[in-house]
This record gives sequence, structure tokens and C-alpha cells, in this order.
Amino acid sequence: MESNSQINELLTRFLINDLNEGEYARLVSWINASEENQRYFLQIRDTWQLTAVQLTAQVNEEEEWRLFQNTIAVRDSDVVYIRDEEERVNTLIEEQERTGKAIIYRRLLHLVVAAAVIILVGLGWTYFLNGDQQPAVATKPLQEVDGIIPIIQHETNTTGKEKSIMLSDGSMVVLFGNSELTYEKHFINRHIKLKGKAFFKVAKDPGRPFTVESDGIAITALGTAFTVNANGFAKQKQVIVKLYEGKVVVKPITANNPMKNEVYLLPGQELVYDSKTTSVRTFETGSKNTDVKKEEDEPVVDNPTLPVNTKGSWHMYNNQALSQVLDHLAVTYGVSIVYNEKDVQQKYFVGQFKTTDSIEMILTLVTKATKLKYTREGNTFIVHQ
Amino acid sequence: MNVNLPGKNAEDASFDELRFDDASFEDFFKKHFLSLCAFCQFKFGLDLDMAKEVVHTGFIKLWDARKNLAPGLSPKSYLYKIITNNVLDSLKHGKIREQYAQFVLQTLPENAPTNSFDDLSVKQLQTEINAAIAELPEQMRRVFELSRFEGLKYSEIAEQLNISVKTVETQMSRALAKLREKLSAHLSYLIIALILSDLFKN
Repeated sequence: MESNSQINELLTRFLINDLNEGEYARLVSWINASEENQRYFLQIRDTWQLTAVQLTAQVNEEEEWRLFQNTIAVRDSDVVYIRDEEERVNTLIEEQERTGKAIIYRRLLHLVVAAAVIILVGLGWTYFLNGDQQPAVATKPLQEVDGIIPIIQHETNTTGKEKSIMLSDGSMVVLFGNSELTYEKHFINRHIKLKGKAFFKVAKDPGRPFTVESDGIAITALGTAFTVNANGFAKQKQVIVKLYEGKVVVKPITANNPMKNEVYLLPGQELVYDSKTTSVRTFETGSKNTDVKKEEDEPVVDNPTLPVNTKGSWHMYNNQALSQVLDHLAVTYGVSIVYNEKDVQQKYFVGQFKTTDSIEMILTLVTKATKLKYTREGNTFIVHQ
Repeated sequence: MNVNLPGKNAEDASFDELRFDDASFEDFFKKHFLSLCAFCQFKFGLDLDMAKEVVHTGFIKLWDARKNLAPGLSPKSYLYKIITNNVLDSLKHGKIREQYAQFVLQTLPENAPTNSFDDLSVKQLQTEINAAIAELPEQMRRVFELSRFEGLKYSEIAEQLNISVKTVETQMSRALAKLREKLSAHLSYLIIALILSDLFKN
């Protein structure tokens, strides 16, 4: 007869699926020997299976629910995209790079990939006075390399036409007439001073905030995408900073500033600043973004409109830069979405989603339509080639 | 659209609710997902990934069927039923380790009872299992955890803990025997009359 400990060892190795045939036969004959043995076997087996319940502590219902929705949505969405059509898609993309516009429709959601050169993030400024020579923002010390004297670059646009300037960090500025920019040529600290009016296309770099300083305040983009508009051409100096997505901080940088504290804006909020008062209020993200003027001279076909109806039951992307779409999704779903700028550049997206759609499902569709992939790590989604 | 028929059971949402109301379905999903996983692990010895997959499949079936099922039926029972059938089915089709499956199949009655965990008892169970494992002697506990939860082989555990494979084997089987005693309260009701002899005749 087998000893108890031998049997226990056989049983245990049976449970971890590690028995050879001879051992298996021995175990079976032992189990068959008596009802008591059978009962013991079942108890050990059930103990083994019971301990597995411990692992359910790892299960996150929220996550599983999103996965479920994703599965259902992807299954039901009748996706016919890309692999079979790759050739055609490539041709279309080439074509649209030549003509500036072409559209690929997905059957159901009308997703569109469009490639064109468009301002990713518009920072619209109108006329400011006395914007120069402000003290540096205290929280942003210069990060010069020892011994290197920064070369200060002045860009003045005295022509009536807009002028495009590429900064060394990949950001682009469209400087309007009668306006002036001052910045360090190497642009390591991403700090720029503005007089007048300019559009900024900010290259994403979470480690280095991008700050625009003008007229006594500094506006800093913190990581994700944002849009700032200044109010029209009123006599009164007034800045309206509208934040659609991501986060910006607006700081007073002069003494006796009507603005006393720094203000963090949340998506859907706008800050109105003039020489007397500062107020923060919410605005409708669906409202027209009329201050962002189309740049007719550029090979730009359309201006990305911002997601409308973000408070409603759906949101829509209307040919927006992919980076902007991803940033918006990140904020909307409270997750972080990481991507490489060069993977997303010149990719645009049109599509509409319900706010109840899961982030996985949306990302699946968005990345499919833009020929990218994503991987998930906890609360972070990595979008890649 | 939220259909509220009279006579619905507040404890256990009926199909009448789940039928048209996505939010109810979501609540229902979140409420039962964990218990169903635990059920599959315990009842059928599935590993966690397999359990999750089976439960997801069950919910997908429920989702698809929700508009066509008899009113008043309990979706929870329905879910346990379809999941049990699914597991038995995949066991029969050898999707799960064959050797294991044979035993499991033979030790389950044809119509497995749809007794279920509720969330409370799963949490409770986790706590008790935790406690039982924590009470094991240090080395035994580590051997058990590495084998059971990390899925390491005896040889790997031996290497990691710098002990012999034989010691790992001894510790492992003793751990299981001890846990059987400590957790016996949860096992007693599972002992059912089983006819094992059929299995071993051929």
C-alpha cells in the first residue's frame, strides 16, 4: 500500500498536471480502492480549486465591463477595414498627400483618414501691447547647459502676410503681421514671448511644458492638447483662454497684476483676462471656434474643429489631427494615451462615438482606421505602428 | 428605454429590466462577474484566464439572448446555466487539459447544480483562503504560492528557494493537506456521491 505522504504527493502532482502514466495508474487504483479514498481525493482537488478563488482578487469588474463592451461593439460593428484594402489605402494616402485631401470611409462609422498639414494645436492670440521683456516665470527656470550662452532669436513680421516659423522642438508658429516673437534659438526650455498674434502648433513633450508669455500672463500647456483663443480685435485688451482638452495653467507674471493666483483650467473652462479682472467660467465646447482663422495661403485644407457636444451622449471628430483626437480621448476617459509624434503626424480622423462606448472600442477603431495599433498597460494605452 | 414591469425582483434583476436597459445590464455584469469567475475556478478547476473567458462568453450569450427570453426568468440562473453548459461542453471537446478534464467530467453530476457564489461570499472566501495560506509555515507557504499562483515547476521553485526538488514536493503536498483541513468548512457541502468506478473500468 502507498503511504499517506506518497499519495499526497501523487495527488498534488496530479493537480499540477505532472504525472507520468505509471504514476497516474497508481493514483487511479488508489482512488478506486475505497470510497474513503475517493472522498479524500475530491477534497484535495476541491481544496486546490478553492485556492484559485484567491486569484479573483485581481479581477477588476470595470475593466472587464469595458472589455465586454469592446467585444460586443467590435463584433457588431461590421468592420471591413484595412488588411484587404491596404493597397488602395496606400494609394489614397499618397494621393491625398499630393492633393491635400482624400477620404477613406469605413462603412459604418465613417471614419476618415486624411493626411494634410494642419495646425495641430491652435493658440490664437490677438493684439497685445507691451508684451516684451517680462520677467521669466518663476516656476520655469532656464535650463541652459553650463557655459553655453543662449542665442536669443527675434522674429518680427512686418509684412501683412502670415509667416511660418519652425521651432527646434518641432513646434510650429504662424506669426501674423505686426507681431513679434522672442525665444532662445535652441528652445530647450520651450519658453516664448509674444507681441501681437500667432498660432502655435505645439509639439508634445510632457517633460517640457510649452509656455507662451504675453501681456503680463503666461500660459503653459501641461502635457496634453489644448486650444487657446484670444478674443477678437476689441480696443480693450482682453485674452480669452479656452481649454477644450488637456490642461493649461495661466499665471500672472507681473507685479500688480489683476490676476493674483495661477489658474488651472479644466476642459470646458475659459479664462477671461484683462487689465482689470480675471474670471473663469465654463463654456459650451460645441460653440463655434470662430477666432481660429483659416490660413488661406498655406496648403492647409481645413481647420480642425474641436469635438462638439462633449457633454452630450456622443462626441464627434471632424478631421482632427490624430494627436488631438487621442489627447481628447485621454482626458474624456481619464486614461493616459501615449504615442510617438511621428507615428501620428499627418493622420487625421473623422468619426462619431457615443459617450458610452468604451475607450478600448474607440481606440480599436481609431487605430484601425489610421493603420496603427495600441497596447494597454494598466491605465495607459500605447499607440504605435 | 427602461421597462419597469410590476412584480420585478429588486434583488435579482429580471430579463424585463435587462432587455432594453443597457445600464441595468452593466450593473448586472459588474455585480456577478467576479462570482462567476470564482464559480468556474472552484467548480471546474479553471485557471483565472480560462474562467474569465468562459464568463465573458456567457455574458455575450446573455446579451444576445436578452430580448428573446421568457419574462420573469432569472438572468442569474440563466447565466450560471449557460456557463456551466459551456464549460462542460469545452471539457468534452478537450479544450481544457485532457487528463484533468476526464476527472472533472466524471466527478460532476450530469446536471451540475447551479448553486452560486454571491459577491459577499467570494470576498469572504478570499479572506479565509488568504488567512489559511498565511497560517502555513513560512517555507511551505512560499512553495505553495509559487506553485499555485505563479505556476512555477518544482524544479524552478527548488532553484529559487535553494532547496531540493524533493523538499518542494513534500512541502507542496503537505501544504495542500493542511489547507484541506483549514478550509474543510467550504468543502463539506461539495462532497457528493460520485461514481468513480465507471471512470476507471476501461
